[in-house]
Amino acid sequence: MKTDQKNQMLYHLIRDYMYAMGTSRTTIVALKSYIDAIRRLDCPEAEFKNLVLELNGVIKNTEPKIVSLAHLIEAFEKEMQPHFDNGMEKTKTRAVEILNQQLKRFEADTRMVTEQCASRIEPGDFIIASSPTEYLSRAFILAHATMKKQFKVLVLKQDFLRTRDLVNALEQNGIEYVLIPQYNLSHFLRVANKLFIGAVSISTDQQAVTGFGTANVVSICHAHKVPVYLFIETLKFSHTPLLDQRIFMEEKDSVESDVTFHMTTFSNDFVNLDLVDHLITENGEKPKS
Amino acid sequence: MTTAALISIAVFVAVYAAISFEWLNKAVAGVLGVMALFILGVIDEQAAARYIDFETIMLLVGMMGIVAVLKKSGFFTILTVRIAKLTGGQPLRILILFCALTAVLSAFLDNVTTVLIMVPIIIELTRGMGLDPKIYVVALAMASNLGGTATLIGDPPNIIIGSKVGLTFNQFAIYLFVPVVISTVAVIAYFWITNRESFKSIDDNLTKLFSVQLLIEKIEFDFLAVKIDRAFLLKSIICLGIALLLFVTHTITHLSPGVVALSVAMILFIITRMEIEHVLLEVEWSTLMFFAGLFILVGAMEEKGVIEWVARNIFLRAGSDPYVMTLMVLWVSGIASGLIDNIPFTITMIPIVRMMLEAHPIPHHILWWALSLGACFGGNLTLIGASANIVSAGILKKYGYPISFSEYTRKSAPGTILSLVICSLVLIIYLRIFL
Repeated sequence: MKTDQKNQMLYHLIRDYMYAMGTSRTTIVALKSYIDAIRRLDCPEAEFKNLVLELNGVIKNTEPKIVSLAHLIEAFEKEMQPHFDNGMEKTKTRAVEILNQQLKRFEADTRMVTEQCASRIEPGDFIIASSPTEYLSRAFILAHATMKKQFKVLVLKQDFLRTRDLVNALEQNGIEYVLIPQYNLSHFLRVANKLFIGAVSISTDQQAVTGFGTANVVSICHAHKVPVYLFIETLKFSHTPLLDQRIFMEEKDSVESDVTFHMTTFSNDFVNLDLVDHLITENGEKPKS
Repeated sequence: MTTAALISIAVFVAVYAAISFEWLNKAVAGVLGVMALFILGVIDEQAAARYIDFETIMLLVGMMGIVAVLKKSGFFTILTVRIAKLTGGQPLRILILFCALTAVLSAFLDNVTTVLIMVPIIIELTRGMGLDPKIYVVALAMASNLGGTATLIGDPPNIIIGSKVGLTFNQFAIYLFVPVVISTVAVIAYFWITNRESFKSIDDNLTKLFSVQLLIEKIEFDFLAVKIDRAFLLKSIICLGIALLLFVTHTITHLSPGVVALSVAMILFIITRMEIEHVLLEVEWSTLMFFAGLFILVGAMEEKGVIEWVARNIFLRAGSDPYVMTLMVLWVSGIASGLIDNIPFTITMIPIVRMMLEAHPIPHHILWWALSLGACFGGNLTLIGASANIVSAGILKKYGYPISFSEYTRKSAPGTILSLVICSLVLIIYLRIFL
């Protein structure tokens, strides 16, 4: 199998994972996988550096780009540079240590975003949740169980995989929720008072790369003056514009009832930050500029 | 031969042809054949009812019910995902562990259920690693047919033989365990030797190691979607354990396997409070209809003297040498089961083997073991040899890896021949010891 094909397979896997679990969880799982992979690696010392750089290259160029992961890998690569010639075992140990530090750093950021998210929930709120972002579920649990806030969640169902974990979390923690298909949102715009979303990244030209379907929800909410809250770790801020975020595009034929449709799909949406009312990072509300 | 005998042969051949060439659904073909016998006056309804082996039907219904509840408990999925994690993505470990688990599960569950659980996970795992899932799936289907042979309840031919001949769960386990284990190991080794490049370790490839870890996480996420009800799971496992215990202690309790399976299934339905309509949907009624139809068709041929004629003119001509008789039953069953359904074949062969034994007795049921090994292992010969093969090929196709009859047979036939050679040797050793 050609290298490009192999990479495409990995990108597909990462996309699938991100689609179901959100970017933050994907970043954490990818770092843990990297640590396990290094522990298991059994190669000649001379090849170690090339193998690490090759994998870093693959991770930094996923489609779409997972900016948080790319930033952590860049930092790892930089820190590793002086340690590549220290002997195999020492080098591996150092690599694992650095990756663990990156992992802890990101987990701490995610925890803080979760807390920020929970603190934005007020008693009596009816919050629209439109992505499978893990910290959204955690924030709801934190606000309900620890902060003892009473609120309601409107879960927009896209498909089973994306909705499953959020609904399970709400159900298990006794949080009141209403589950509707995403396309029925208009029926709740008078009663819902906040929209919470997450994002894969924010580009330098002020566009948030989000899960597909999110752009429509944001637009409708913005038009109906439902405040939009975007929760995101600082590490997800990209140094490049939207065009460099490598959003995956696929064109393929699908056959239904003997009719062939030529379909173009994109892996992600993008949302102009002008439509977002509150941009919240682990450090609190960030002014949009 | 009488006219009634000739009609029963003609109907039986027509049913066989309809099943083998897939002109008709198996159950429909079987029942249609019985109706033809009624209409043509060969047998009446009372005789038909006598021919049906209700012990086999009870065992099948009971086990299907137990498996339906176990499937709902998520037990098999948890087990398979654990095994996927345990492989660490090492191709050879995937082959060995998945085949071993499949063989063990198939010994206690029906083979189709086993491959339905195992095949999707092994395809996800191997294709995600850029490996060819076909080799793994064929090996898995073979392991399910091999493992199913080890017990009375593992494969329909064994259920039929056990019930019709009165052999116990323990007798099956004692005599068939050794050839099953050796053959399973040999088949896995065969796949490894002939596809060494595909089973190379990935420990020297960082990108592959990374992908595998991610892949296993994703498999866990995808397949462990259902919320596990621990109490439900525990009740299901305990009931399966009790059923197995009662099978093993048959000589003490004198409870037939059919009674055990059906009683445990009913208790399980009550204590898990499952909706009975939901469980009944999982019972393969068409398979039961097929069984009942075949019992009647073969019963009619037996009563009209056809089976005796076949036994005397074909099988008994081979002489009285126990070695020749045993190997003939093994290889004829093995090759025939690869080409035609092994269920009707076994039902047909039982009266023939019985007559062979009446003419020239062989101790320790060795001829029955030859029939069991041949009928079950032979199913591995071709794609159409066993239901598990057809179901596995169907899942492969669904995932975008269609496999043709010839491609499947090229992969499976050498391993099947190898396993039949091993069985021949084991049976020869049994004959040496017991004669």
